[in-house]
Amino acid sequence: MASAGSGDEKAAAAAMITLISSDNEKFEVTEATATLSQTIRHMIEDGCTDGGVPLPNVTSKILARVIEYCKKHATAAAGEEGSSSSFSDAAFLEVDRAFLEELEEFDDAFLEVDRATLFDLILAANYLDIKGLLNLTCQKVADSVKGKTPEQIREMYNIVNDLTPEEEAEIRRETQWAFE
Amino acid sequence: MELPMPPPPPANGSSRKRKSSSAGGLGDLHDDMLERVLARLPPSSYSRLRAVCRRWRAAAASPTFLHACARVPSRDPWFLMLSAASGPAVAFDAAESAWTRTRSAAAAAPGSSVPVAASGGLVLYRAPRHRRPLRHQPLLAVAMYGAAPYRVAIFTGDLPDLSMAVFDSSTNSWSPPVPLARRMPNDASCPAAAAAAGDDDDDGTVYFLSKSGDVVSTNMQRSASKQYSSAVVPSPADGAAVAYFLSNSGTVVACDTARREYSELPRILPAYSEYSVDVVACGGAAYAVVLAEYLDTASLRVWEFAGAGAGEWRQVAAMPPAMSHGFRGRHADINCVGHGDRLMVCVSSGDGGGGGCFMCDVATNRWEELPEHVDGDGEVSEFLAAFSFEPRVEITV
Repeated sequence: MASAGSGDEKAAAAAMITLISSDNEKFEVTEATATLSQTIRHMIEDGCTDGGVPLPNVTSKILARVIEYCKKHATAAAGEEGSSSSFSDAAFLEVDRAFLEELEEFDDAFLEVDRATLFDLILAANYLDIKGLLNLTCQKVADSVKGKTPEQIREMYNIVNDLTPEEEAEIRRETQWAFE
Repeated sequence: MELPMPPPPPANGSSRKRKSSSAGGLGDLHDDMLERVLARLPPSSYSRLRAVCRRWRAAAASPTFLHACARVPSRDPWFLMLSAASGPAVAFDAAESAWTRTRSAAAAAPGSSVPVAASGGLVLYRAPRHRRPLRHQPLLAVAMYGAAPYRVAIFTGDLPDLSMAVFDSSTNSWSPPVPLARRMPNDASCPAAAAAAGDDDDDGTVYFLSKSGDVVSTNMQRSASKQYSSAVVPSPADGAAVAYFLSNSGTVVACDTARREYSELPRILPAYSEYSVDVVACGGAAYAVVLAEYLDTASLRVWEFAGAGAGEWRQVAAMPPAMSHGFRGRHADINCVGHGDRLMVCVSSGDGGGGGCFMCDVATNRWEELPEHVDGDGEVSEFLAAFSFEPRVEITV
C-alpha cells in the first residue's frame, strides 16, 4: 500500500476512505481530505464508499499527487474555520497571512511538473470535481501560453491550423492593437 | 460502486504527427476544459490567440466560455489612460505590460464626457449635459462601487456641510440627497489629530496645490476628470463602502456611505511641504499618495491612515529617491489609481516633460516606470490620470 495516508492515521478518530487507482493501488485518506473532491463527497453522502472508491480514470502516480494537494488544502480549510471567529484579531490575521503564503508556495511547487502530468492533473481534477485544483492547473496552462504567438502554440501542442488565410487575416485585423 | 466514466477523449487524427513529449496537451482537451483554460488567459491574449485554430476561435461565441470567464475571480487590470489631447482612448494592459487602444471605450464615450469613476468592469462617464443632481451644490466627489448591481454616490457641499446622493443600478434610480454627519476625531486621546485640527486653520494656504483648489488653476483644467475622483474601500457591512476623497483644502475626507457620516483625516505633512496629494484604493485599503518637496529634492510616498484611534499616517511605500528626484521644481501634479496591490501614479507637470507614469507594487514597494506611449503621429503621450478596470468579456451593460 502506498504511504500517502500515513500522516493522517494518527488522527484516527476521523473516518478513513480508501481510494483505488486505475492500476489497483489503494490510498487511505481522511474524509476531510477526500471530500475536497465533490464527486467523492457525494458518494460519501450516499453511503457507497465501503470497500473503497475505484477511480478507473486516475493512475496511482496522478492520484498520489492529487491526494498530496487535497491533504494540504484540507488542513488549510480547517485552519480557516478555526480562526474565523477571531477575525478582527490582528495576531490571527498575521497567522492567516503566513499560512496563505505557505499555501501559495506549496501550490507553486506543486505545479512544477512536466506538461503531460499537468494535463493529467487537469483531467483528474475535472473527473473528481476538485475546484481549487482545476482552477490552479488551468491557470498554469493559461500562464504558459499567454505570451506565445499562435504559431508557437500550434508547434507546442501539434495543433493543426484549420483557419483559412482570410479568417486569419480577419482575426489579425480585429486584434491589431494586440500586435502593436 | 464505480464512478461514471467520462466520455472518451476525441481520438487523435492518425494523420497528426505527435511527438512523444507532448502526449496529453491542449489539443486533446475537451471543449469545456479548453474553454476553462482559455477563460483564464488575459482577454488581450485570448483575442490574439483565436488565430491558433477554429476550435480556439469558436470558444469566443460559446456561452460556456463566457460562463467560465465569469468564474475567474480576478483579472489583471487595464488602466484607461486620460490625456489632455483628444484621440482614441489608450489603455495600459498590466497583464501584457503593453499599451492597447480601446476602441470600445472610445466609441462608448459620448463627445466631451469624461470618465469620473470605475468599478468592476465598468467605467462611469460624466457627460457635461447631465448634471441635474448636482445643480444646487458644488460637487466634491463621485464614487462608484459594486459591480452587479453597482452604485454611484455623489458627494456635494462645502465642509463641514456635506451631503450624499446614491444611484442604485438595480433600481435604476437616485436616492434623494441626505446630509452626512460629521464624526470628530478623538482629540483628547490623540495629540496628532489635535495638532492636525490646528493645521486645518491654514486651509486654503497658497502653498498648497489642491486638486480642485485655485492655487494653480491650470492644474484643475488639466485633470478635470480626476477632480472629483475618490478612492472606494468596501466596508464589512455588505454593499456598503467607505469613500475617500480630497476636500477643497487638500485634506482627506473619509465618508462612510452606510452610516452616512464622514470624518476629516489629519494632514500627513505640514501644508507647506505637501505639493500634490491624491487618494487611492488598493486591495481593500485606502492610501494617500503625496508628492512633497523637501530641502533640495522631491519625494513621492504612499501613506496609510492607521485608524482614528492611532490618529497617525503610516508610510507603506516610497518611490526610490533617484526616480522621484526628477520631479523637483517641476510643479508636478500626481494622479493615482490602484488595483489589487498595483498602484499607478501619473505625474504630469505644467511645463511638459519631467512627468511619466509609474507602477508601484505596494506590497513589495517595487517601482517601475511604464514605457512611453507613442501616438499615431509619433508623439509621446503625456497622461494625466488613469482609471483601472478588469477587462471582462462577459459583462455587458
